[in-house]
This record gives sequence, structure tokens and C-alpha cells, in this order.
Amino acid sequence: MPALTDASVARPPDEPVLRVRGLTKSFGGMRVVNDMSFELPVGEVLTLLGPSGCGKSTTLRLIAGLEQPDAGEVWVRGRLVASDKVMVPPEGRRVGLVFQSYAIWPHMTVAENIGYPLKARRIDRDTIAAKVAEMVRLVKLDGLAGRMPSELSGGQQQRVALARALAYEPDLLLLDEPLSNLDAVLRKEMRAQLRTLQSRLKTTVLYVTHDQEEAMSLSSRVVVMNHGVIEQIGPPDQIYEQPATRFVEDFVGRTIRLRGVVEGDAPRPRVRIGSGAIEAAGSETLRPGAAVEVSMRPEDVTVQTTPDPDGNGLAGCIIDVTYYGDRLEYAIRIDGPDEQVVTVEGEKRRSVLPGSRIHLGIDAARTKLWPL
Amino acid sequence: MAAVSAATPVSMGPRVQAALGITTLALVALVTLAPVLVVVFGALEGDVWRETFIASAANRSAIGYSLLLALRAPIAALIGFLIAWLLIRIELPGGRFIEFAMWVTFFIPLLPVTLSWILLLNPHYGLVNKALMSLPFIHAPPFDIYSVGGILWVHIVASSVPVMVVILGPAIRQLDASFEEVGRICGSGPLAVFRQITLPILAPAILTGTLAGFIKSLEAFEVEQLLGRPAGIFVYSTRIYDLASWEPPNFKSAMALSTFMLLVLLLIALAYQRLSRRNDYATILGRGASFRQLRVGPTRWLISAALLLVVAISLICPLFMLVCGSFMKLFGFFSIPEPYTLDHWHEVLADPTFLHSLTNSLVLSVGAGIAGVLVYAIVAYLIVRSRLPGRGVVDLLAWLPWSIPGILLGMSVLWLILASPLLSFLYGSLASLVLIMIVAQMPIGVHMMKTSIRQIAVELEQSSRVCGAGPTRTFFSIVLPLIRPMLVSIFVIVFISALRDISTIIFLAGAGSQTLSLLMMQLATSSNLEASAVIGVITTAIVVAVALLARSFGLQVTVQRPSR
Repeated sequence: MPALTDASVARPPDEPVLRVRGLTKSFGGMRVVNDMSFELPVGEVLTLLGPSGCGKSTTLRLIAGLEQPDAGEVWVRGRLVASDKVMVPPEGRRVGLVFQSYAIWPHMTVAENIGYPLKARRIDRDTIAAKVAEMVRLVKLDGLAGRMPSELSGGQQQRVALARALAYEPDLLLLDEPLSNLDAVLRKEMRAQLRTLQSRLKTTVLYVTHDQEEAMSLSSRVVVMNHGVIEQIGPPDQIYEQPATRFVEDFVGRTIRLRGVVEGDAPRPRVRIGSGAIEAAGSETLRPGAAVEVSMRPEDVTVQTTPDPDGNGLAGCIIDVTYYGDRLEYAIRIDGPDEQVVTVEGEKRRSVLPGSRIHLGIDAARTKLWPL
Repeated sequence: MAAVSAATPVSMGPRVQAALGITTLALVALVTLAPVLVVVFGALEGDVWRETFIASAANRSAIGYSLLLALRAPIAALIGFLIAWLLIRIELPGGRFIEFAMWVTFFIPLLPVTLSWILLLNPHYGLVNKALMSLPFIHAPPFDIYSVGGILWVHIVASSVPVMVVILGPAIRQLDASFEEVGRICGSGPLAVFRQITLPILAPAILTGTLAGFIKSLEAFEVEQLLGRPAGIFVYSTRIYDLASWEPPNFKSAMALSTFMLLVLLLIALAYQRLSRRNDYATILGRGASFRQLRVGPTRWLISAALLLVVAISLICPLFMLVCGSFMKLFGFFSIPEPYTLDHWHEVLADPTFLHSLTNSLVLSVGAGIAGVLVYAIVAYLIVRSRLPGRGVVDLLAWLPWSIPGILLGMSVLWLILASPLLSFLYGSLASLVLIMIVAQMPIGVHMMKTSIRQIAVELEQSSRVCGAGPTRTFFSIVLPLIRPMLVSIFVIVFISALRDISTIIFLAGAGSQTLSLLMMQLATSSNLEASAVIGVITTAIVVAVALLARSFGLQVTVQRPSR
């Protein structure tokens, strides 16, 4: 690169909006974020997904400038904004943030709330008014600009917080569980709106949630976290279909797990489970006699009253049926001395009584093997 | 984890702002510590201690009288607790009016009330004495206001009891009624429940209140000056006043005496701190707010009558007598032909000194109010939200002036101004009065601000920072507007305190910075009680007007019931 070029002007087009390297933060001796590294390219939605206490919110706060990292670096648009030595204050980072609690200022009207970041940047009054009007339309709050926050519903408050964060066109929008305070119906609606808004504005978004459905439906890529460590980064389908760890597999969807032992003497390697045996993907890489766990998604298992003659599957006995309205769930005890029990979805129309014999059809290609 | 990070404050950001913050904290430490250090170091020299305590019987007697008169604290705490409990827990006819009257009494300046009691209990012309002496079997005036009993009476009636009612009210209100209800269900009568459950649970609160009253009683000045001096009764504060205003002033003895009192006060203050912290625990126990007022039979009329008598004695009667006194030809002489006149009003209102003092008082009160609110808000914010070094120490130091008597604060600041050429420009100036009032009211101001700021969700501030506003803009456009009611409350408290104050500013005011309260004091001690009463009426009117105005804005020092 020529020596005279200003880095901020001649930014390479592939320069990520956010780059996090080795980010580490402890509270009272507890490592809440441990050596996190990831990048977020322009226009992408990246989700930090994990159970509460996994460090995802702290990561967000480190990026926003609300905490200083103990080690590691945060780069926004090619500028180092945080390390153990550098600490650009939040107001200097050009990021937008929507809190879980929205943090709408109760003493300001909707318009004043949305216009605040522009006012803080000393933008002239007419421009602010025009921008606020545009944002109000964008988040569908028409006619409410003069209202006080206490006069708004939860969903409307959430949209004010969003409009405020977007008003000054930040390089990066940070969303901290923005939908978790809404009821189920509203949440679904807001999720769809958020998706439309993002694809229209092409904003780069870092999204924090513990809800795997939100993560799957909104993100280009998902970062699954646990105990302050990244378990896996990848597109939603990869995270779901090819989980890197058992934690990821469990966290992003329901899982059926069966313990067994690899059998070596058969023509094709199989896994013995109880008194049956099944084929499983990847079993040939393991030594015969190795203890393993076979996992699969419930939708890849079928419940059959008569076994498919040349199919892959296990036999068992229904011990309980639970009615959920839109579906049924069977608790099935697999034949064998260890009496493993799995929960499988069934069709409502072909309900089977407890105590009946049953067969589980398993798609070998869609199973995963975990050495124990 | 989320809770941990949510409680972590935003870092201060730019270095300049951090430096400003540290400077502020250092200044607070300086102004709170300096008076104490001046007094203690002043008392370290040579023979002062022997001279002060062994050679001078007057000094020893002043300490004795101070401690004797402090006995009003436990008495007032008991009466105040009883009144507060009756008002809050029992459905009384006229209950709201009685509460309101107690609240007004809380704000009324002491000096005018003292004048009224002189009118009533003066051994020569006191109305009560005269009335009783008209009875056949009483030949000598039964009461003498110029005595230990007189001083105790004025304090208890006019300030100690109303203060206790106001202080103990919230504690009683927070006590979960279910504690008492369970007692009733277990088979105890209302009196047994009061004795076995209510009283023990609230005992720490009463004790804390007593200690607070004890400390405050040791700094009383104007009542003792007016009522004690004629009878040769001197307390610590009036003795200090004498020592330091003699020509030449005996600062050394004054400081030795002060150091001794400071030691006593700090010990009590420490006990108070420990107690009030444990008290918080008792508060948490009860979820509060869930009580129903008790209904009692015809007894409630009796209770109401008794409480109305208290209101009559502590508020109505003194105010009435004060107004009477201001219109009298000769203070206290009701029996002369045509005892009333407007002359004193004419005389006072036409006097340029009055107008000058009024202006000074208003400048002082408004100035200290506004500057104080700003300073307390900044200091409290730095203590609660910043990560600056030393904020914990400053948190403790901001509490220090609470246990320093006004007269001591005034004396040490006077000494500092006289001793250091850098500060000489402050000598006798109104600015020095504003400054000292800000320091004197710092404990209550910073404490109330801290409570208020803690209630703001941190996200509201963090959100502002992420939106691009720096710490300063965030403070002024988010934090201050959110605690607006508290700003008004503290302004009113500082305003009224500054308007009433005598002991703190008496050493510092010069000819050009004479205030209304000092003028009133000066007239009263130079036996011009009529003119003093005129100013008393005016001062009281201003105080009550401001308090009422503030009440309509929702002043938070209140015995008012929370809105239902």
C-alpha cells in the first residue's frame, strides 16, 4: 500500500467491519470471556448464541466500549478501539446498541430519543428533524413521535430503541437480546420486521441471543458460545447439521442420544445399541469395541409399527405418550439390558398406545458418532 | 454474570474528564477534612489542654451543660416515635392535618419560636406565668424560660419532636404489617403486639434516631445563646462563640474544646453509622407498603385531641405569639394601655440594613441551593458511577460535616481565612457564606443524591454513551433530568437551612454580608425583641412559603402518606 494513503479512505473492500482477536475478560477471578476471536464482514448478521452466563453479553459490552478487555483486541473499521491498553470510549466507536431493556429515556419524547445521537454529534436542527421523521416512518411509529415512552407498548418501545440506534447510521449495530422482553406473537412479528429492515438497510449487525430459533432465522453466521469460549462458528445450517461439539448439537436443537459400542466383525461397521445394532455415519473411522454415542435429530427418526425389512433401525416399546396439541411425543424404551429411553415425535393421526412394540427407522447418513 | 456486568459503571473516558473528576474528589476531601485538621492541630500546642480543661471551670461547665441538654434526644425520640406511630398506623380524625402541621414545624426556624416562648414563659411578663399567678394559691412565677428546663422545653417542642416524627415516619411505614397481624392471630391484644413486636423490631430505628438527635443537639446554638446566657448557662457552642469572639480571640482554647467535642461526636457518629447499616437489614426484612390503618373506637377522638394539643403547642401557639410580639409596643407587656403598634414594622421595613440583609439572605440561600445541588449531584455521581481512585474515601469524608457543629465549622474556616493570605479575599464575603453552607449541607445532599442516582438504570447512561454523547453531556442531559424531583428537594433543604442558619455563618459574615438570620439574632441579643420578632415573622413566612411550594412539587422529606 502506498505510504501516503490514508487507511480510513483507501479501505480495502474486504476489510471486516468488526474484528475481534483473543478477547478476554474476567470478573472477580472468573473468566467470563476467554480468548474470543471472530470477524464480521460488511452487511453480515452475526449472532452470538449461548446459554445465559456464557459471556455473549459481556462480549457485546466489550465491543460497545462499556467494559475494557483484560487482553485481546477489538477493531472497528480497521481502527483499534479496545485492548488492554487502548480504550476508545463508547461515544467514539460509531456503533449502535439496543439493550434488552431498551433503555429508552423516560424524560424524552420518542422524537427526542431518536434524535439524541444526532444532537450529540452537533448536527443542525433541520437535518435532525428530517432524519427523525425518516426513522419514525422506517420503524412504523408514524404519529407517535410526540409521545412519551410511558405511553408506548413494549413493541413500540423496542422500535424506538432500534430507530435511535440506527439514526446516525452506525458502522455496526449491536443488539442485545432485543426481542426477549416481548410476548411470543409480537416476538415473531418483530423478528420478521428486523429481517426486512436489515436486508433493506444492509446494516452490519452483531446479534446476541439465547434463542436458537432467532439465531437460525436472522443470521448469516452463528457463533455458539459456552463458558466464555467459542464452540463453533458457521452458517446456521452448518451449525445445525454438522455441530462441532455435543454442546452445540444440544443447544441449537432437540437431539436423540443413544449409547453403544462399535462392532468390528460385521461386513460393514455397525454400532451395537442394547440388543440391536444400527449403521451410523463415520463408524468405520473408529476401532471396534470403542464406546460411542450416536446422536440424531428427532425429525430424522421415523416411528414404524412394522419394521422396514432392509432398513436401519432399532426395536423398542412405548412407555409413555404425551399430547402437545400440534404433535405427539413418545417415550420409547429401546430393547436391551441397559433399557435406554428416547423421546421421539409421532404423527397424531396414527397414535399408538403405551405398551405397544415399535420400530425406530434411522437414517444412517444423518447420524453423528461421538466417541465416549 | 449479567448482573455483575450490568452493575459495572461506564469508564470515565477521556483523560481530561478523569482529571476533572479526581480534582473534584480531592476538593471535597480538602473542604471536609480541613476544618477538622485545623481544630485538631490548633489544639496540639503546649499548655492548651491544661489551660482549657483544668484551669477553666467555665469550659468544664460548658461541656457538662452540653451533655445534660443532650438528654432531650432520647426524650424526643420516644415522644416522636409514639406520635409517628399513632399518625401512621391508626385511622385518626384530622390525621392528615396533624401530619402536615408536624411537617411544617420541621422547617420553622428556631429563633422566632424562642421569642414566642419568651413571651409566654418569661419569669417577669410571661403570659402563662401571669395567668397562673392570678390563681389564689400561686404567688411566685412557676416557670422560668431562662433555665435548663426552659432550653430543653423550647428544643423538644419546637424541633426535636417534629424532627423525630419526620425521621421515624419512613421506618414505621416500611414495617410490614403482617408482622403485627401474625401477632394478633397468635392471640395477643393490640397493646401486647405493640410492646412485644412493633417496638422490638423498630428499636434499632429509634436508637439510630436518638443518636442522630444527640449529635444535632450538641451543635444547637441560638436557643442556648438567647436563653442560657442571661442565666449564666453556657454550652459548648456558646462558649466557643465567646472564646473566639473575644478581643483578642482565644482560638487555642476554642480549638482544644472543639477537639474534645469532635472526639465525642465522632464516637457517636461511628456508632450511628454501624447501627444504621444494621437498620437497613431490618428494613429489607419487611416488604413494606402492605399495611392497613387500624380502626379504634372512640379512643381515636382522644388521641386526635392529644395530638392536636401537641400541634397547638409546637406550631400554632408560637406562630401566633410571634406575630403578636411583632406588633407590640413593648415586648411581652400586654397589660399597658394600647399595647399594639405598627411602629416596629415601619422601623424594620424602612431600615436599609433590613433590605440589605434580606438581599444577602436570598443571594446566600439561592446561591448555596443552586451551587449545592450541582456540587452534590456531581460528587454523588462520581462516587456511585465512576471508577476513579479515592471515591470510597470521599464517600466517607462527605459524611464528616454531619457531625461537625456549625459553630466549629465556622470558626475553623474563619481561622483558615485569617491565617492564609491566599484566602484573605474571602474574608467577610458572601461567597465564604455560600461555600460554608455547601460544605455544611453536603452530607444530606450527597446522601440523597446517591440514593436517587442508584435508582437510575445504568443502561440509560450507557445508551447515551453509545449514542455518541460524552460523560459530561450524559450527566447533564440524561442523569440530571432523571433525578429532577430530587434536585428540587435538595435545593429546598439547602435553601431553608441557609436562610435559618446562624451558628455556621456567625463567625464569617462581615458588615457587608449580614444576613436576615444574623440581624434577627443581633436584635434579639441586644434586647430589641420587637424588631427581632418582625424579622422572625418575615423569615418564617419565606420558609413556610418555600416549603409549601416544594411540597406541591413533591418534596421528598415528608411525613406525607404515599399516594394510593
